Amino acid sequence: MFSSKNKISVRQLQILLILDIFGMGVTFLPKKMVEFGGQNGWICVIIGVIFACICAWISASLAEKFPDDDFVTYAGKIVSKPIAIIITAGFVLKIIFSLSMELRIFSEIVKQTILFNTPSYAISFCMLIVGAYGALKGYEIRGRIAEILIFVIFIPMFIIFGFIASGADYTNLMPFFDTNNTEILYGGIFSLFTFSGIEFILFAYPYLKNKKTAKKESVKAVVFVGIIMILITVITIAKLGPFDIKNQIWPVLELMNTVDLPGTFLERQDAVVMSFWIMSVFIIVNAGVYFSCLLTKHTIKKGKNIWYVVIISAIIFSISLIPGDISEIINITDKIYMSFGAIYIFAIPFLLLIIAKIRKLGDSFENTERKN
Amino acid sequence: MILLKIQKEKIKILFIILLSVFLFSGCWDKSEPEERGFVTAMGIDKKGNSDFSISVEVPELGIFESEGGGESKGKDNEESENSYIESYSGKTIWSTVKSIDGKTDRKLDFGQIKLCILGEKILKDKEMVKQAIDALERNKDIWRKVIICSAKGKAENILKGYVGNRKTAGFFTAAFFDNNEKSSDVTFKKTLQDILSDLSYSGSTILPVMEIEDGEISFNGMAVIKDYSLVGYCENEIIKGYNIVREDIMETDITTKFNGIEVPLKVNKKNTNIEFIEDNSKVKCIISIDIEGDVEEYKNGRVPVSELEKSYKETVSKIIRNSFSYFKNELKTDVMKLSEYCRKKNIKLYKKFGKKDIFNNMELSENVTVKIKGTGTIN
Repeated sequence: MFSSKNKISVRQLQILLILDIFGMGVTFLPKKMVEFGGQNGWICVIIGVIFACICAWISASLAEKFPDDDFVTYAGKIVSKPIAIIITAGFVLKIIFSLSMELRIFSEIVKQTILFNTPSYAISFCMLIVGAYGALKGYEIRGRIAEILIFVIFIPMFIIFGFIASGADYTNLMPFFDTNNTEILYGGIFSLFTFSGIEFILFAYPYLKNKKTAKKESVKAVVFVGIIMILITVITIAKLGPFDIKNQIWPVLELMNTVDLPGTFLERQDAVVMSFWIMSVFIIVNAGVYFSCLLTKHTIKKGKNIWYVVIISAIIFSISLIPGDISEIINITDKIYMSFGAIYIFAIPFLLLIIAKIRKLGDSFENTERKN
Repeated sequence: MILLKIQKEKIKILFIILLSVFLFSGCWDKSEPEERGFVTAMGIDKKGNSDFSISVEVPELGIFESEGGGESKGKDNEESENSYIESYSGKTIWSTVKSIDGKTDRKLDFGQIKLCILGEKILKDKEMVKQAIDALERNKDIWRKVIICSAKGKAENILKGYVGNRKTAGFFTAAFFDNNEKSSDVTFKKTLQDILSDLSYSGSTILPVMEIEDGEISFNGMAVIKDYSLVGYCENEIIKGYNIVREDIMETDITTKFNGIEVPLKVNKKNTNIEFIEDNSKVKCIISIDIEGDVEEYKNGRVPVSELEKSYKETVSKIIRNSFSYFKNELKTDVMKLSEYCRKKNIKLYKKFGKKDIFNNMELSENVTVKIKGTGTIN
C-alpha cells in the first residue's frame, strides 16, 4: 500500500494503539482494582477508561494541530526548543523505564508459567532482539504486523475468556456500589496508568496517510481496549472472588490456571494462552524501542537508525536486570506510573495543547490540505 | 549487483533462522516425557507430631497405550504395571517431595496432577492444614483445578489400595467427578480454587471423604473444615440438603414416603432464591426453591400428582431444615455459605450483625414448590 512512503492508514493506527496499550498491566489490574474498590473494582476501570478517552482526545487534538511535524519540532514551536528537548528526554526515559519493567514482568511471568529453569535475562533478551529488529523496519511494517497479530492475540483470548466467563459466579460482584467513593476515584486514576501507550498518539500523525478521522478513531481504539479491560476485571472478580484475588500477584494468569477446555485430557492450558500473550508483548517491546529511538533521533538528528536501536535496547535490557524480585518490580512500576505516567499521559499533552491554543499555534488538517 | 544483494539477504535470513533455532529451543527447560514422572495423585498425611508424610502416585507411561477395559494388575510391594507409589516424610511438603525425587529415576512433574488427598490426622491439625494449603497454592506446577479430598484414615492407604480399572486413583477420581459434576446425592467436587475461595473468606470449607474397600474407592459424605481444622463429618442425607439449595447442582434425586412406599423424583429443573430479612432481632433466611421433576417409580397405579407434590414439598423442606440445623447446632459452621449470601444480598443486615455472629443469629424459613412434570411413559 504505502510501501515506499512509511505511511499507515487510520485503521492500522487504531490497531497499533490497541496493541500498544494492552500490556502486562492487565495481568495485575484486577488485584489493584480490588484493593481500591473491593468487589466493585470494575467501576474503577470504567472511570479509568473515561479518563483515558479524555487523555487520548487531548493528545490527538495536540498532534492534529501539527499534522506534519514530529513531536520534538512542534513541542519546540510551542514551548521553545530547550524545553521541548527536556520534555522529549523525559518521554524517552519514561518509555525506556516502563518498557524495561514490562519486559521484566513478562520474563518473570514466562518463567513462572512455562520456562521454570530458563534465566529471566535470556527470556528478556530474546524478546528484546525480536522487538528491536521489528523497530528497525519502520512504522508501516509495524502497522502490517499489527494487522495480523491482532486476530492472533484477541480471538483465542476471547474464546478462553468466554469459557471462563460461562463458569464464573457473578454473585461475587455483589453487593454493588457498596464502596467508598473516594477509593473508587483513586482506583480510577490508578487504572488510567495501565493505559500507558496513549501518548504514542502524539508521535503518530506525521506517518498517517489520512489524518482527518484519526482523532475519533484513536478514542475508539482506547474505548475498545477499555471494554476489554473492564470485561477482564469483571470476569476475574467473578471467577476468583474479591478475597482470593488480594492474595495473588497476577490474578489474570491464575484465571488461566482454572480454565477447563472441553475435550482435552491434558491439564494446564495456561501455557497455551501465554503463547498469545507473548505476541502482545512483542508489539509493546517493538513500540517502546521504536518510539524511544524515534524521539532520540529527532532530537540529536545524527547517525543511523541501527545505532539508536542497539544503544537503547542495551539500556532497556540493563535496566530490566536491576530489580531483584517481583515485589521490587511492582514497586518500581507503581512509582513510574504515579510519576512519569501521570505527567506524560495527561499533564504534558494538556499543557502543550493549552499553550498552543493561547498562542494560536498550529494549523488544523484542513488548512494543511488546502496549502498542499 | 542485485544478485549479490539477494545472496546477502538470503545468508542473513538463514543466519537469523539458525540463531533462532539455537535461542528458542528452550534448552534450559528441556525435559523429555520419558524422563519425567507425571504425578496423578498426591497424599498428605501427618507423621509423628509435626512431620508431613507425602505419597505420590506416578503412572507408568505404558498405561496410555493399553486399551480401556484391559486387564488391570494389582499392586504388589508398591509397584505395578499401572503405577507406582512413592512415600517419604519430612518437615515440609516440598522438601519431602525433593527427597522422593532423589529416590526415583524420573523427575517428578506435578503439571498433570488430578487429585490431592489430605489424611484424617493432618486435617485435625490447624497449622499443618494451613501449611499444606499454602504449599499447594504457592507451587506454580499445581493447577487450581486439582481435586482436593479428605481421607478417613491415611491418604497413603487410598493411593496404595486402589486397584480399579481406571489404572490410578487420580484418573478414577477425576473421571468420577466429571461424571457427577451436575448431579450428586453423595458428594461433590472441591477443587483447590474452591477451597482457596472458601478459606480466604471464612476459614471454613467442606471436602469429599474418600474411603478404600477391596481395592475400590468410594465417596462417603463430606468432611467439614472450620478455621482450618476438621470439626466433623456430614452424612449423605445432610449433604443432600446442601445440594438441593445449591444452584450448580441440578440433578438431585428426591425420594418421599407416600402411603408407605418410597417414590423417587428425578429433578429436571431447580430454581433457588435466597433472601434475608430481619425478624425479631434475628436474621431470617428465606430459601425459596422451585423444583420440577419426573416421577420415576410408583407401583400403585396412576400417580396422584397433587398429593405427591405436597409430599415432596414436605420432604424437601425437612431435608433442608435438617441440614441447616446440623450445620448450625452440631458443627457450628456455615457450610452452606449463607453468611456470604447475606453479605452479597443484604449488606446492611450483614454489617449490623457482623461476620462472626450472623450465622449464629440466623433462622431458616423454607418456601418450596414442587411440580411433577412427567411420570415416565405411563400415568
